[in-house]
Amino acid sequence: MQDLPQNAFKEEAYELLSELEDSLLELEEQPDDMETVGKVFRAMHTIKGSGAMFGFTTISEFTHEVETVFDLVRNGELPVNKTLVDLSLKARDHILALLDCEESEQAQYAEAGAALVSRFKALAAVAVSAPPEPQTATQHPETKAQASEQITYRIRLKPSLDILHNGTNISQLLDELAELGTCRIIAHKGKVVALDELEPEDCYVSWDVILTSDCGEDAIRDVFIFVEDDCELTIHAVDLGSDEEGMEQKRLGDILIERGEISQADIDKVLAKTQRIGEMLIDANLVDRDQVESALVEQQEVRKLQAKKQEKVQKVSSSLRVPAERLDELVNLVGEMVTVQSRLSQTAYSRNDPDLLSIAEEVERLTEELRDSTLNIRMLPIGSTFSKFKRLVRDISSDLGKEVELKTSGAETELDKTVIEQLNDPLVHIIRNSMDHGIEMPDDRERAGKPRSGTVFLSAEHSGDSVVIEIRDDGKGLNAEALREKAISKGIISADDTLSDDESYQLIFAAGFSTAEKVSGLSGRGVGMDVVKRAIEGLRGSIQLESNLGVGTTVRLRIPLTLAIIESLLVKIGDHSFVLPLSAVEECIELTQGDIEEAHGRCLANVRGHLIPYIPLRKTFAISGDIPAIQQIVITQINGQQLGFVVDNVIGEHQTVIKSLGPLYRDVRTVSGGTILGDGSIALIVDLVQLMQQAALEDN
Amino acid sequence: MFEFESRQMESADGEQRLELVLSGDLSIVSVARLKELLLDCFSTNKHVVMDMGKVTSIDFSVMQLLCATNKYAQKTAKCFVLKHQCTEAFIDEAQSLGFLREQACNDAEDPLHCLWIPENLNS
Repeated sequence: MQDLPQNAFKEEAYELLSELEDSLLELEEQPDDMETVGKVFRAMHTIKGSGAMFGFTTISEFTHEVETVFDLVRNGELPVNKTLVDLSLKARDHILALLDCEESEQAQYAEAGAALVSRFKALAAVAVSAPPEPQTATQHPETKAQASEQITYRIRLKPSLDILHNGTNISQLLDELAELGTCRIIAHKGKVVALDELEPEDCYVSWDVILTSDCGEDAIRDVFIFVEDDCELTIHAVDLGSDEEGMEQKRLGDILIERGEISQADIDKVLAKTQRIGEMLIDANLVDRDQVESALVEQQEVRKLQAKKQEKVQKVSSSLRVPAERLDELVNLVGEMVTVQSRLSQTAYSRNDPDLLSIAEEVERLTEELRDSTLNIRMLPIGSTFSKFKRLVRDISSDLGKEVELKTSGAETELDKTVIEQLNDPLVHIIRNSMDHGIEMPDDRERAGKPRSGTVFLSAEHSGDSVVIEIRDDGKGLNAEALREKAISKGIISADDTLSDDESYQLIFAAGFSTAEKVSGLSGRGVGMDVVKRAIEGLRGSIQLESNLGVGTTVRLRIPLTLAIIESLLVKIGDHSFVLPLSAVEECIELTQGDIEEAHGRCLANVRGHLIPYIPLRKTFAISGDIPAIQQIVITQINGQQLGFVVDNVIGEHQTVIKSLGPLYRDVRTVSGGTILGDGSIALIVDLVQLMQQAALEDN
Repeated sequence: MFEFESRQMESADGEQRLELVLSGDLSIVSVARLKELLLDCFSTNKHVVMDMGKVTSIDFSVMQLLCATNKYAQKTAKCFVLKHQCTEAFIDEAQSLGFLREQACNDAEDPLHCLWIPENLNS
């Protein structure tokens, strides 16, 4: 069903609407940017056209009204201002709502749509009644010409001898024509007579104009509307020839024959000579130099246009739209492949057959390449998510009466598509919190010696096999004492608990904790940050919080690049295998019986003078059997804290294809999934964050 | 309307030429008068140099007249040269009208004397 044209339209429309939102927000910052105006117009134009083609009539008709207004903007007849941007953003949301609902449900949006259409019509009416503004320097004629398909026209203008008598200004006509696109003008002066024979107020000159534009023939004719009885005007769309690969450019002779200037016989006659065809034809007095020049100009324009078309075709063919489900299927298959390869390698090592080992190594290399390439296909720049937040910040600022600017960096940082999708809600919540609780009202900021406008910085960068996303605001920061008091009043901690500032900040992640004095619709009911934390940990990520009172707060998320296959550390406890995400692992050290005794029964390891707590996984997972004399502690860092996990043996690095445990095990918190090892046995993926939290609870 | 000044000049090798310095607006309003002036100049001079440096605007009819004057000069074995025509007014109009050329028209008596080729545009 994915391949239905309607679905293809929807997918394209979603992308266009996302781009449209970005463009409108850019336009709000730079209202004179005609390139962005062009982008908005083209997005509307495409949605309208494709919508009509695939039966989305309501969307097409609605979009037509918006497109009309942006055509006026494009022509400099309507300025870009906040009203227009606000209205266009609402129109964009309306189209999105129409796209999201079934056709039968569209009626519920009819009233809202009609209201928007009326407002757009009113805007258009203002523009039509107002005198057009003079063209600014940025309104280059080519801007409009790039809007849709470009056509090269050959325009021949032969004015009547007496055209100047009625006051016609020829150069004004030609200037108007030039404004329609890229224009080359060639005057044919061959009929100009010598001075003694000249009637100086007559016109002896004719013109060829080679115009490349998307304006259409009617617009060209409109230029000559008042002189059409005083001139011969012919307009031909120049045939570009075949689009096939290896097509030949039209030759000068072909163009002159097509124009009726010469015959093929004339061409053949002069071809015997060795001169260039243009020179030969001039020498043969079959054409004059102006005609050759005009034909050469046409040839150049056609070549340019063909080159552009070719470039466009190449661009189109270099990308392919593939349904996400097919990619998921591919990733699953690659996962199976990795498992089988692991089995092959293990068998080859056990048999110690050099030929088999060589094949296994080759398969291992290819599988790794295949895995990386496949996972790369699913990688998307996080910027697509960032750009949505510009709108969010704009709308929330307006609702809260605050002035907030969103600054982003690292938009090009790539993450797995699934991870990006699942990150959206937590990021929305964090940004909302920053704006609602962090950034102060403009007057308060001014009193605090800060600029009236607050800033939320959103950045992303790669860090090993993870991406670190930072949401930083320059608001009032967290008040550790206030947080502590509130936690006591909510019964989250007792009055006797002594917490450091950092520990107090972490209280906002506790369920039911709200720092807002009044519950607002924006940041929810204090359950937000708890949900955010769980969502991030669900992505096998971690969340950290830093704050400075009066300076601002930073929320730092560390997210794995992908959820499908991870690099991990394979360990054994008895006969059972476990994998620990390698991204969290810092080092492995030995744990002897002597070390345990030295710690007097407490789970603390002395690592180069630092005491690090550890969790014996044998005990956690209730695995019976003999404990080896020397165990291994895998030291990890989770949410900025060091924690060890004691295992019997560390086997080594392992590529783990993550398999879900299924609904039966949904309540098992300390294991986040399973994987199949090369020998067909199963290893469980340890959820380090959950284990740490469980240990903390048990301690309490 | 335009004004003009004419002065008789002599080159180092003794060749006589008439230099016509035009100023003001050249348009269809005064093109007939300019034609008569030029014919008058050629009636007594073999070599006419027209200085366009002080011309403030020019229209198509005058551009066409210049072309006709050049043809007339070549037809009558005389010499017509433009001087100081690389002004904004002149170049803009010539460009808008598509008069400027890479190479001279092939029906020119002497292609080297085409008014619209880069070699003959004098600043």
